[in-house]
Amino acid sequence: MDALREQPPARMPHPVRLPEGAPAPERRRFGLPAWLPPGGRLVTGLTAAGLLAAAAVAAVVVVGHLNSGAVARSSSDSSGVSGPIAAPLPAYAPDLGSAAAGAAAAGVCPSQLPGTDATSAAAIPAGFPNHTTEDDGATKAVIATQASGYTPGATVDVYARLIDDSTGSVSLPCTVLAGPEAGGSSAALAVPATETSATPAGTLTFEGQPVFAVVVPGTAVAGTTYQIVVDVPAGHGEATAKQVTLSIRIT
Amino acid sequence: MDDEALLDRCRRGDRDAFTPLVHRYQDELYTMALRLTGNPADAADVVQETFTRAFRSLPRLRGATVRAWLFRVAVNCSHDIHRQRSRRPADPLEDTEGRVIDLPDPGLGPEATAIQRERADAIRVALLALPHDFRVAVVLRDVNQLSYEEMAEALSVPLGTVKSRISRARGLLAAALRQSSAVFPRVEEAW
Repeated sequence: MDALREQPPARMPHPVRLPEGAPAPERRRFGLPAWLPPGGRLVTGLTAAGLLAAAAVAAVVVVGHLNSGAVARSSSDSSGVSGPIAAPLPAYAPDLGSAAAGAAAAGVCPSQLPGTDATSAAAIPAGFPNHTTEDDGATKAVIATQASGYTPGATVDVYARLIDDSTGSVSLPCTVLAGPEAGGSSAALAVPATETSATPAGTLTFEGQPVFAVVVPGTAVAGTTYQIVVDVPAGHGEATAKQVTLSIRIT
Repeated sequence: MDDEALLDRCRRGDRDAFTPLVHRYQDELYTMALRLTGNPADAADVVQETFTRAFRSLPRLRGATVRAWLFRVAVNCSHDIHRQRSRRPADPLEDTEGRVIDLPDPGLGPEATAIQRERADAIRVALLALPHDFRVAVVLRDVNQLSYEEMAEALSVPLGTVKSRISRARGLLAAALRQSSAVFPRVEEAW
């Protein structure tokens, strides 16, 4: 072993180049084209925000007619596959963490759900047995799915809520499906190979409010683990932004 | 400023706080990657990819030391690059621009330099012949001198697994190097 230890250390032959922007995961939310330059993405994002706001108004009207108190899927969704057709309500938290900064520019998440009862929002909906709740005394984060295992290409309905413990306000968090960890294993320190933004399902609701839907990549490998990642932004009692995760297994 | 303080600044969006971490660990990671891949160009790619992934994954870092975390990412990157390029023959003596990078010690004579290079090559061949998990274990421990705890954290395996991998890896490596006259010259050659 001495022969190995005596080998001289090597030096990195050229400088490391870091990605542009602040240290945060690169994410695409609500289908903004990745090839657009940052300015283009911003303009597109703002345009999209306007369109989404209009869609949200329409969604409010529709949602107002739905029964509340339980998860409900509209009768038009007979395929069982949810599509990202509606947006969260256009009321935005002003102090987002860095991970959510890109989404903030587009004005899409987190979005408050005014009038939503904090206690019922924190309760896990029936039919969502795979769930986690993290409450650090400032913010309660709830994530739940209908199963713990999904096949590649399957749609995962995600119930995700942030509840501000001090004010009782409820919001839809920025939510992504991330994974698998590079190397194929799963662990706490996930280094995601891909991330897919979750979008409101539109047809699946809980107490009249949106449930997210995200599609497992068709290339996902059975046996790997993906994480549903919810951003908890700074502010409202949180000193720094953080994330809460829920695992799903690819079968 | 220590790693944790820099990391905290990074998490708050301070891009410049990441640069000292790069400077602090790039050579250490490069040495590890070079021993794992046996190829300078691949090793440089591993380091570049490690810092890129780390930069993007900062908010997900929880409860780990920066050093162990970076090694974990680098080991995964090495594994990925090894899989991607396993069909491409390696040229261990040159970097991407064709320059010799393992420069000889200027204080050594030509004969000693030749012996040193031959020994390094024998070690490289023996290391590359080890199964991947064992190679990672012996490099992290004996080249980069990670503690058992750091290794367990970096590899996401129990402490006992770390120790058994190191033990087995050292045994295999020692057996391979014993066959090498560059590392263990025979008596008649030594005279």
